[in-house]
Amino acid sequence: MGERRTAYMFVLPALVLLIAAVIFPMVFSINVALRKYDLRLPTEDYPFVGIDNFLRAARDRYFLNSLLITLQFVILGVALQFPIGLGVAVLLSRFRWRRYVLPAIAIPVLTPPIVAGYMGIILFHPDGVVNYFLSLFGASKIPWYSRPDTALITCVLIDTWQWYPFIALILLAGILSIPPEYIEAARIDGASERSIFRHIILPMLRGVIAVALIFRMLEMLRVFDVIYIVTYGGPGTATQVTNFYSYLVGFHYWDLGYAAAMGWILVIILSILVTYYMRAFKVS
Amino acid sequence: MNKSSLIEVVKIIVVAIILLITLFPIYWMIVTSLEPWELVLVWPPAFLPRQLTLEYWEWAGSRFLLPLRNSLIIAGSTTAISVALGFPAAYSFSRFRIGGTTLPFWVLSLRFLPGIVPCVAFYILFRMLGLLDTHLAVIIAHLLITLPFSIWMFKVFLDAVPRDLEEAALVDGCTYSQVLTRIVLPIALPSIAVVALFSFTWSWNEFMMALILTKSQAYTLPVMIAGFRGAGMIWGGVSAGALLSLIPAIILAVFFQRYLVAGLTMGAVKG
Repeated sequence: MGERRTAYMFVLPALVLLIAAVIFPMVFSINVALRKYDLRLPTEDYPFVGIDNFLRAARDRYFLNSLLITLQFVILGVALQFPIGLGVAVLLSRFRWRRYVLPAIAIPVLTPPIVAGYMGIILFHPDGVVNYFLSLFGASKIPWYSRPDTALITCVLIDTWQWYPFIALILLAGILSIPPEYIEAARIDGASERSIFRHIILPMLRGVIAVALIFRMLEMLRVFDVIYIVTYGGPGTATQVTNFYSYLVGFHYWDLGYAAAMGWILVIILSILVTYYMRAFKVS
Repeated sequence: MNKSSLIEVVKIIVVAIILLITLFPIYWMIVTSLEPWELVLVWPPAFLPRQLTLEYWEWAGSRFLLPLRNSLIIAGSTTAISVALGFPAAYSFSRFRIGGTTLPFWVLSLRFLPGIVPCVAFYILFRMLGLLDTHLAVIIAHLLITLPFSIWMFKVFLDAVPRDLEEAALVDGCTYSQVLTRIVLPIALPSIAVVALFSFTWSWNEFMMALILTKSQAYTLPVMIAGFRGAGMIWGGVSAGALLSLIPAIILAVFFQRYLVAGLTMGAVKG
């Protein structure tokens, strides 16, 4: 049998499935985004409206607001998760009993986000453990996820519990792959721990940090699960991130065309971000 | 006490605090699932259960059986298909160098696709086909992520395996299919275990597509748990169900810890 024929024979089943389960739905979803695909309409054919849905998004203040909330979620999340992750990674890289700690740290990352959100509901309850702990320092009870000004940060904190270990584990792998001679040589030359960290460890972690950050940012831009279970976008629209708003538009108001268009706008934003980011970090 | 042993003590204390914060929510769910409701929300909280009951586990045992079965069927099938089709495809991509350099880009971009985009398409398509609320619908939707993931992970793994043995076998007259099943497969068994477990956990944890594509028959554990949002009185029962859904996570974390980084970053960072 010819080598190329064998090659294609091995690929064929996967390829057929990829076309059916990946490429076809993607193309179909673009098609939907370009139509007035509103299931409430008493019709079976949905008229082609070009980029009307996209133009509508540009004027929809709920959509624009949802982009802002998403942005806040991402910025707050990275601002919390990166320093914590880096700190834990550095600490564990110098911790003797590391291998007993790592499995415990890994559990949150593998937990269903819905369950993480559910735990958050229990812990951040007005009479819950978090408020109890804060009350020991004299704080009064905070209704974390039922107040507009604290709801988003509550979701960010839950997301941080779940995902700081992701950053920690990746950065730890990066730190451990640095040849120890580099660090020892610097130490012999009299470099302080702080300058070893700044001038040797941190620069060598550049690629790993880039990967960890882009993974987190992209995942947070499409956040849905935690918002759904903890606040359902509320109170009001305080935590209505874009992926959740488009879910409401699509599957509560049944305007699937508009929902798909908003999804694709998010895809465009993601792509621009990735391209720009890759260039900035010079990673391929 | 000298300075270096003081540092050791400080390190141990900080690590203990990190562990406490990381594991406490899980411990607290266990307590919630075992305590009578009147004792759960008392102020101050009782950090050790004062009275135990299996009432909520029984409650969950009857209600969570269907979603548990659905989750097992969906995650199991998704995993089996991803591995069975992904492995030979990855072998081809790796050894015959077909597919070029666009494949990795596809894989990465799919993983980060906002859920609403495939959801809209799958919802309309499965509605037309009458497949809404079936296992098949969710399996196909999950393959959107797990199949490219599996092909990519296997390719990363196979690229690192030297070809000498396979070439020798080909010279001796083996066919490609024989090489694949008798030589490559045994070497690749650990990687298959890892890819399978990650695909399984991903499918098991996935919420948005399962929520939109199911209703009263094929719904999975996360959909079931999310359905209780706002229903305060049954915290104990929902906690029991949530603990059930944590089992794959714990297995993966405890036994496959060293493959975790590679799996989570799709091979972008080696563990």
